[in-house]
Amino acid sequence: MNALLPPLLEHLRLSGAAFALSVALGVALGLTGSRIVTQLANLARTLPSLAVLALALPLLGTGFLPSLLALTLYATAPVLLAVVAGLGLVDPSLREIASGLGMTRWQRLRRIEFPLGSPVIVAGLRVAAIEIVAGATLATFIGGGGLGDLIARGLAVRDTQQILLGAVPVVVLALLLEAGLGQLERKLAGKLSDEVGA
Amino acid sequence: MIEFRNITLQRGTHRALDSVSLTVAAGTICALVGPSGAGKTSLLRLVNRLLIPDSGTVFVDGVDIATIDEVQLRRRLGWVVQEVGLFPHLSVARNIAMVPELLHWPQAKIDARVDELLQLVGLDPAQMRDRAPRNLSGGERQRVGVARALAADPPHVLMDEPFGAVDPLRRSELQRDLIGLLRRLQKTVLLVTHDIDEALQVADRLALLRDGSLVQAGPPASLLLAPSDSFVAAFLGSDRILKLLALHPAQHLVEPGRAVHPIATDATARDALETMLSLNVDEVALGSGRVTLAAIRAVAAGQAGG
Ligand SMILES: Nc1ncnc2c1ncn2[C@@H]1O[C@H](COP(=O)(O)OP(=O)(O)OP(=O)(O)O)[C@@H](O)[C@H]1O
Ligand SMILES: [Mg+2]
Repeated sequence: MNALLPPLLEHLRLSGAAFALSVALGVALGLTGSRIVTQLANLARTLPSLAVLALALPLLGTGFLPSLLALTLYATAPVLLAVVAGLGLVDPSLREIASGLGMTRWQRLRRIEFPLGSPVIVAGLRVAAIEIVAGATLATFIGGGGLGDLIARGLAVRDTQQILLGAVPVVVLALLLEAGLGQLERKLAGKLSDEVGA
Repeated sequence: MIEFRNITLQRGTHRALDSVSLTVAAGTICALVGPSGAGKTSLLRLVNRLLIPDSGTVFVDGVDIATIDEVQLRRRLGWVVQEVGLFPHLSVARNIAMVPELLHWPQAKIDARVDELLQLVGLDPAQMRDRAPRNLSGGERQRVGVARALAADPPHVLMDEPFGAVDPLRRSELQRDLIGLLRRLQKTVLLVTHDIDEALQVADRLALLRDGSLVQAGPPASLLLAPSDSFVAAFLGSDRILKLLALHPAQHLVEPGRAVHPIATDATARDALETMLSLNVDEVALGSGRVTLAAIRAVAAGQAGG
């Protein structure tokens, strides 16, 4: 247990921070609705996470911060694309009616567009969260710490137990995120297609 | 009051509106009619600044709307549109409460207002409040749409084919209820409609657009009596004299004397004529007097007072 806890906490800290940053960045960029930003995000989606980390190494050096930056950049793309897709699904005539009722752009986003796009946006958050948790395992290669340390060390000395000690929590975290956010997503989608409040 | 002064609007390569001038007096109902693509919706959207004219000015209560904040402007304009208008993720109550919420009314005041409005548009608050828009009939949805437009008591109401999505049988009832309500509340109403009969029945004034130009505007009776050209005449229909008679209460034609066959006190001149033709008589009884064929002829010729 003592061997697990510090890397687990480190992993959670890294993932949590990367998630928060990528959501903030992804939403902000998604709201610009810029075509170039979207195309860049699509391009970024095709890069494997290891490649992103490998790119980060010479550019950013090693340690927690470079790992955080690399993960954030990596997970921003799915958030951004989901925001663009989710808001894109909103019926333009509803958007227009919202404006016609005297809503400012921000009020419209908060009250109409985000709620209506929420199932798609939450799906993007789920993908981002899982990719971060899994991707953070690779942070060990640039000295970012986390559960990847356990796995790497286990691999080095061929200690299966040590490998599992690192790998199993990663899998459990990913499954928990999948289940939790997946449920939220279904609930939001259901709310939009079933009776309200009934 | 809503006033368009010399409005020209280009949409793409097409001139959607061409020097249109029109005034809707405070507390009156003006129906915008015309063929598809004539520019009715465009004209309506100029009022809440969803469109900006290429030249000309729109005034609301005497103020050039280009000079005021668009959010402030829109809060003074109720807006009702066909079909999709309601937000699908919000209950009926929250749809109606939207503008009061934006204005930060206290919750108790909002709740009371929602119930009041539901009653006003003829819906049972207890039954409707928490429903989702998708669980309403077309007519109920339209009533909720009007309730939402009236929520913060705007002095003006813009309506774009509000009854278009309702089946014809329910339409006239809905129209009578809701337009009657707007009239009682003394709103200034600009109503776009495809339905010339609807327009004739409910409007104080008709404005007929064609290819972006205002062809003729005036009270329904004056258009029916004196269409300015053959296009207007054709648009009003070949039965326009009968439509004119239908707008005229028979009460107004009563003169002293007796007749055998009675008609209802709320009958129109058209009903009176119908009765005369079917019974092959020249006069019918109404209350303690009578209505003569000659009086009806005078209406049709535009010579009647009242
Ligand atoms: N978004 C747009 N872009 C370019 N042209 C448009 C647009 N919307 C409408 N138009 C054109 O502007 C003209 C007027 O359209 P408008 O919608 O005001 O007509 P309308 O009288 O409301 O028609 P309808 O009775 O079919 O609703 C039409 O020629 C139409 O093709
Ligand atoms: Mg239209």
